[in-house]
Amino acid sequence: MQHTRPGTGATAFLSGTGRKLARIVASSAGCLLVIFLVAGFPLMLNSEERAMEFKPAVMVTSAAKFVAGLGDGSSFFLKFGSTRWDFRKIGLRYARCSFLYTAVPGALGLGLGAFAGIALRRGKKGLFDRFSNFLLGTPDFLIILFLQGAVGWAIKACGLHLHVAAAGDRLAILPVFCMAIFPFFFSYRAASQASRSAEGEAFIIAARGRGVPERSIAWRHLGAVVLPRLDAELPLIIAFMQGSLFITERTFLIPGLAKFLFDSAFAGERVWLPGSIFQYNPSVLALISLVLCCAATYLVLRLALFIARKVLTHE
Amino acid sequence: MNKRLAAGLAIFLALFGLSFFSGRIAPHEQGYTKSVTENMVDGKKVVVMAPEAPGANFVLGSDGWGRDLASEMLHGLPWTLAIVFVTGAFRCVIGLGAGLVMGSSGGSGRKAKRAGFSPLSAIPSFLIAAFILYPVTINSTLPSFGLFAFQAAVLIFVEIAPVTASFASRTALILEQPFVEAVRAAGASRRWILRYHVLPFIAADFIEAIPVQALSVAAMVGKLGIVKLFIGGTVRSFSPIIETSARSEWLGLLGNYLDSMYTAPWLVIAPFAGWLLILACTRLLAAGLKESLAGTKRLAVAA
Repeated sequence: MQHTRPGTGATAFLSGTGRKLARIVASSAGCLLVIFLVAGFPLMLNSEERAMEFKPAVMVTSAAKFVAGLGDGSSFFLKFGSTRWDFRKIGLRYARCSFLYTAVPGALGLGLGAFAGIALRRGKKGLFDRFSNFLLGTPDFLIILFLQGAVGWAIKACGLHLHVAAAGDRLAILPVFCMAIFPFFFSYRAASQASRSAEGEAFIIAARGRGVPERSIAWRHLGAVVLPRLDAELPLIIAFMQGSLFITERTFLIPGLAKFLFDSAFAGERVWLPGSIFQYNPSVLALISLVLCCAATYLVLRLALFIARKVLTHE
Repeated sequence: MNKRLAAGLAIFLALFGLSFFSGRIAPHEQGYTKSVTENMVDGKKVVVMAPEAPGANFVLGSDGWGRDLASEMLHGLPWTLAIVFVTGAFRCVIGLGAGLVMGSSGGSGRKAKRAGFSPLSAIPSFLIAAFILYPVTINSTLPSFGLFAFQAAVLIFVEIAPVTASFASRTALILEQPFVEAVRAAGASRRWILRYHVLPFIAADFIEAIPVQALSVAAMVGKLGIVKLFIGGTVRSFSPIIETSARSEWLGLLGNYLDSMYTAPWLVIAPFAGWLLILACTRLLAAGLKESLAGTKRLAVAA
């Protein structure tokens, strides 16, 4: 009697793919639930007559209305002030902007940080490492605000007519720089740690012994060590960048999804008192788009790391 | 006591001491406005409209509505310290409690693999806090202390998970040690083990975590300020829409005056300097405590 070994062949592939698929479906469903919950908070909570009210049923009905409105398209309409907009027509432009402001600085920061980490591996842990640790421990928005103020004042003082932080959907230098700082230092730290610990490894010593040029060792041998480390750090870097994206878009008035979220959610048609009308549907749409944008950035950067590894190691 | 800890404590105690009298030494009451002032220049009367740069009338300058920034900052100091340090400490206490329970009941993250990409990382925790706080913070009808307590609770719970996970993994690590196995074999209860064999090893980590969490809370309050959600409440007036901090806490003032960065830079510089003081205090305390507690009871295994 012939037995098929578990964990091999098509069965294993299918079960592996099935498990992955199930994980993706479960995580997407969980993510949607969280989005409905987060967008529903302003409707659920209320403070009137010096007491707090909690109405969870409103969140459920709003989510149900949103899902029902997807069929007839009513869920896609929103208001900025008193002007009505269709998210299907404007959403992609906002998403493109947010994607560019995470993917481009992410790629730049990762690449340059890895390069700096490998290049500076020989130096003793000194000033640059301390500076890197200091920056990584400082709240991102403080650095963004400092840069915005300092660069703006410096340009004004020099009498230059440069638009480094121009608001618009084109990439501007200063916001890209602000968004690239943290991936750069995360990547630098990971690359310098990985390459420093790999310096004493047998395969590096053997390569040196065989007379392989230092440049080739740095690229091919250390590159092969550093890239998986960056791959492992990528989720953390992306999560950090998403947080910075909100501040960057707000301070530089970049028309991305993060700015859209706050503008559309809390700036609908205004009544005289007590405030603006909260718009649930655009909040859900913006949060879903942000998640998709974040996933796209992650995939693009992972693909870039994969290609870099293939090119460097000739695997 | 090392130098960094001494410097951090000195800043903390100076701020803490000042906060007791800040309301009394402020030149004006909170919300005082004077949008037009008259100055004598070369014997002539010169009328100055708000915002006014730092000078004889206003030490740190005034904003567009003629509010004295120095008075506002002095009135906001107790709120700033309370939200940063009290919330940071409470986050550590709750995180420690939950971590001890989780770590001792086998729910530690120690065996878990390094977290991969999560789609939820697209939604930063400050955004969740912003959505929860929005309906109760803008023109709030809640009593001041009630609103503050609710805001502090939200700031504690939106980022409690990593703190809890950190203490849970340390607890689980300690519980795996042979000396704990020995006490367990001798019949010690779970409560006894946690009280006498785990807590002494975690105490140093707990103390070190307080300034770190205080900085984390401060960062979140600063970000909330950028979207005009201030600790103690946001006062929104209409036609035109003006949003101001009800309690003038420093971290929120930075967000409040952000739009004046180029037109009235002093409005950004003073809260920014205040922010740097809080940053320096927490960083020095964290580094100083780490150095000072290096020799205390701690497990020599990487957590």
